[in-house]
Amino acid sequence: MTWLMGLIVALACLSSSGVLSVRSQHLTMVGATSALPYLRRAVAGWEAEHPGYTVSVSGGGSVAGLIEVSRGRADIGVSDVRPNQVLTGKVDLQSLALGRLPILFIAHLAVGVRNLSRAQLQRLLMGQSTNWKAVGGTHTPVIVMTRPLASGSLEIVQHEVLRGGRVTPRAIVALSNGAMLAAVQETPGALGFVESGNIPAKVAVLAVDGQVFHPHNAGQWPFYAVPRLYWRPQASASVKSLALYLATREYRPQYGIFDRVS
Amino acid sequence: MSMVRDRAPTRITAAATATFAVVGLGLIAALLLGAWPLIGEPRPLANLLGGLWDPLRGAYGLAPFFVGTVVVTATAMALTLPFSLAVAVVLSRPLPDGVRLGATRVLTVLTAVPSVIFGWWGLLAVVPWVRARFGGAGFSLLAAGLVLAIMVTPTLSLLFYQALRSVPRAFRDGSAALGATPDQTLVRMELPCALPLLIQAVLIAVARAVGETMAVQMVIGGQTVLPTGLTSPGATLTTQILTDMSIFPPGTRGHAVLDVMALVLMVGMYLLVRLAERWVAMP
Repeated sequence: MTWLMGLIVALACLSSSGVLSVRSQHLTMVGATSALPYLRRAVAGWEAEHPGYTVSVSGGGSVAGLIEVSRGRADIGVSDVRPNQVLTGKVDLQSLALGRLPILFIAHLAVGVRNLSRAQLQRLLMGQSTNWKAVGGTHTPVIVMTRPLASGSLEIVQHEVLRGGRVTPRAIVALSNGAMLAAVQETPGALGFVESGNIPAKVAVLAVDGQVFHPHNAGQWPFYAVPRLYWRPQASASVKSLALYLATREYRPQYGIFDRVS
Repeated sequence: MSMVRDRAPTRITAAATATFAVVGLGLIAALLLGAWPLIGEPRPLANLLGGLWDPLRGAYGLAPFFVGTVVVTATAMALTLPFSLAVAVVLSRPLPDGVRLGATRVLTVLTAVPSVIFGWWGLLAVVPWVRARFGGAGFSLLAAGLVLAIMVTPTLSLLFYQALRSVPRAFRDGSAALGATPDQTLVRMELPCALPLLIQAVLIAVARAVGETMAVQMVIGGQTVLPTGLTSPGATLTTQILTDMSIFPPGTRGHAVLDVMALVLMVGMYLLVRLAERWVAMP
């Protein structure tokens, strides 16, 4: 029993002297997987400039980003889905745009098609054209790949490309941007979409209505997401500092994030 | 002082048991409360047993996921049962101690491999194999069943082995003394004697197969319509909860549906446990 008392007294002394006190502060970011590579690099830079702070960055999707930050379970939510009351309740989130993240339509290399009209793309994604031959390609069944409902890129594709239509329910669901790319690379006949500012390897990046994506003309590419950083109104100064830092790094284009949108 | 010390183990274990009971009951209560808005609606079964899953338009048919769960589990069990039984029978035969020990150690290590590793391997090996053999995307109920079968085999082999070991040695010796061959002894004496434990092992494996999420999600394709065959993509109850849990905040109808799916899984597991108890209680 004596040793236990001694241990308690020793811990109390150490604590009061500050030896055991933890001065570091931890911030959390949750949300869109497409921005994760950039955020991980940028966060490391912010941590280096702010000793004592650590930041964890995790995915989960754009919707999860909004839900988690509005409920106070994350300090910053990353999302390319517009907030609405179902997702964020009555919390009036503040935000900063990271920039434009192009959404590219990709297909397996052997489909024999490199250019589609928007109408053809719509028919393929909605499951109305089921063979690549129908759009001038090889005789290969179309296998549509999509993202979960929580994905911001899916929302943008359905809103901007399908004009409110839905991706076929027979589509195969890839949980992340990376999983989508890998699935399209490996699956003959696959058609999918990824958020990327670079031309992905081992897939055919499709031109739409004659417009060809290239990192040098990324500003003209018509399909893009705008990932934003969201925080609660009562967030600390360090959270706002982190958001501002992340939204202003010059090397964002290296990660496919172009032309900051105000 | 010594009385306090003597009672400490009882109090600690009682407190741990009470905590566990509270957590378990709390979980069930939370799921029931979450699911209640949907259960309380008119014709909840008709809504939930529909074949259309389009939650953003208010369609919450769970039939594709019930079918997916049953087909994937049945496929996995059909593939793993004979293989696991064969492994267990070999281990229960006379073998050098080193071989038996080595084999059981390997199986034990395999039971501890995280499911995401099996899923990854499934993505690299099983999905391309299904694609090459049967066409289509490769992401399918069959791929999920194969991955699950391989995941469950070590556990089921060890459980079958324990079941066979529970048969008293005197029974085997007696059978041999009466002139029965090892195969006759196995089929007519050992397997019938070990049947309750063998069935309990199968039910445990079924429970693991039904509850597995990550490995299945990686290879099943996540398609939310009724599958048209074993090589079609699909989804199970657990994989659909994983896919959609982030889009439905608590309090929404979609979240209530996910709670219903979780409740269905819990009730299913409870029935499996009761079945297992019933078989073990057999004379």
